[in-house]
Amino acid sequence: MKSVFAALALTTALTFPALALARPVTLTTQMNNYGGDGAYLALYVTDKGGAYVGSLWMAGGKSKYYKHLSEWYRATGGDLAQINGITGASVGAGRQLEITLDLADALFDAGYTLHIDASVEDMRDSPNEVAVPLTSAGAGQPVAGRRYIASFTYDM
Amino acid sequence: MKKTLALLAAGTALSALVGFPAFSGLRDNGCTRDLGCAASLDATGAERALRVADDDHDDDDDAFRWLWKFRERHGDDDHDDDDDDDDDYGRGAPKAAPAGTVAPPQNGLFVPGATPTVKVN
Repeated sequence: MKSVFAALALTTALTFPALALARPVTLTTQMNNYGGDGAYLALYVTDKGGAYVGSLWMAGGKSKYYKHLSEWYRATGGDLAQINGITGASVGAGRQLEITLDLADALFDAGYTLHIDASVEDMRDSPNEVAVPLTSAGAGQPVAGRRYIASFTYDM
Repeated sequence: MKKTLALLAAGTALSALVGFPAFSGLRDNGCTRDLGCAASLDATGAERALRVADDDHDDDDDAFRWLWKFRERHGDDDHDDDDDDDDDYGRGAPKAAPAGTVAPPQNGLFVPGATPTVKVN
């Protein structure tokens, strides 16, 4: 019996720090009524030096269009391994995309920036449609996009 | 009499000259007897009639084949657009694994084992 409690205590002790180092973050992207097909969106993070760290979400499933998400594509070379398990459908004009992710605490207030590249068929590509520093103070503050995104907000 | 024989010989020679290539052409198609026998059906007449029907069918195909070749050469925009838009899956174009089917990438941003949730309003 003692060994069971010991094992339980050990697993709890190992699990708790991991939970404490993460938080659920909701990323909300409200699209403009731009009058075109569904938009492809790449959400990704760069560090304080501007180097690509990783992707958070890819809206749009056809890889042949990824080259139009030019900044993301330049950073990744279109590597699908970067977006396995975090890919969904493209987002229509006027629609709202809401993604909830368990993100590492270390991402916030550490100089990281969240970027969104956007592309719509037969319309102009929009790299860096949104670029917003990830800070605790910035949570809940809407940021306007340049062309296709009316507003972007992250909530913790 | 000599004149008659000469005319007959010339006519025969002319017939042979014109008729031989035509006969050879029929042989090339493997239908040597078709035209001649179509008018005088014998025991295998049914088979030959069927061949004639086949020939008609082939002619039709050739007519459409010409149209298809013309369209291929000059392009068919609608068809190409359809290919671009709809055939991606059929061609086996590479695709990323959709959310929920595999774990997110281990890029240091996600908590291991966590699955993203998505909602479109």
